[in-house]
Amino acid sequence: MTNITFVLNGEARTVAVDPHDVLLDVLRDRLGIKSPKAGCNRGDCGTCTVLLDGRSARSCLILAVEVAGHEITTLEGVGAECLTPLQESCIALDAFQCGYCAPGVILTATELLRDNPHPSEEEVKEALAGNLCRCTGYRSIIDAVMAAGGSP
Amino acid sequence: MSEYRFIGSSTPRLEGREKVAGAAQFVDDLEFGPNLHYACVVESPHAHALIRGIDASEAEGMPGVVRVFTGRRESARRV
Repeated sequence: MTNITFVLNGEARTVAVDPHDVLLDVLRDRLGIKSPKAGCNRGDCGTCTVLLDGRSARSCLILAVEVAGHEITTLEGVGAECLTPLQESCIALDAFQCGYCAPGVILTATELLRDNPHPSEEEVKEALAGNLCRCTGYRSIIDAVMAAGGSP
Repeated sequence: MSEYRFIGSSTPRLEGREKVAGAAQFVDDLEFGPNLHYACVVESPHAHALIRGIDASEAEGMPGVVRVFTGRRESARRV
């Protein structure tokens, strides 16, 4: 075990990890951060997505030791004070049914809208290609991201 | 004609806020404590065969194994 320190949702956290510990498991089981989900555990489904120094990354494919000194944002850290326009439009347009994909979708779309505030539908689809949803069939998710992109 | 309250209008999802904030709890997010046990199904390696017997003694002797359930044992218990 070795101690690593990283910034988690704006707060410095130190945790003891083994070299083979996966970031997703450390977040969920040691740090009590439950919004990143274990879906496929092999990088296909995207529901374990976190922002690593602002870029979307699959926490099921990252070793915890790799994030020492870096900054991790999970959905708990987005809109903690008040919901973002994207989160509001996800509610208004009923983007999620079961909600299991929501953490990954919202973080990925947050990254997209930061880099490209007014994306085209094709750009939204491209950005969300790695986030699988088994409920709503994507239409309402794409609409919600587009609506948030349209708001100033 | 009077206007309906719900028919013909969209109703916001009651748990929508939790879901977009990462606060919704799914079964995998619940803590069951140290009493949570895990099960796995062992299937016959043969597609078409008669079960003449199941010897689970080796599995039952492994550390951490609480119990092995078989069809014969469980149906016998119910009688």
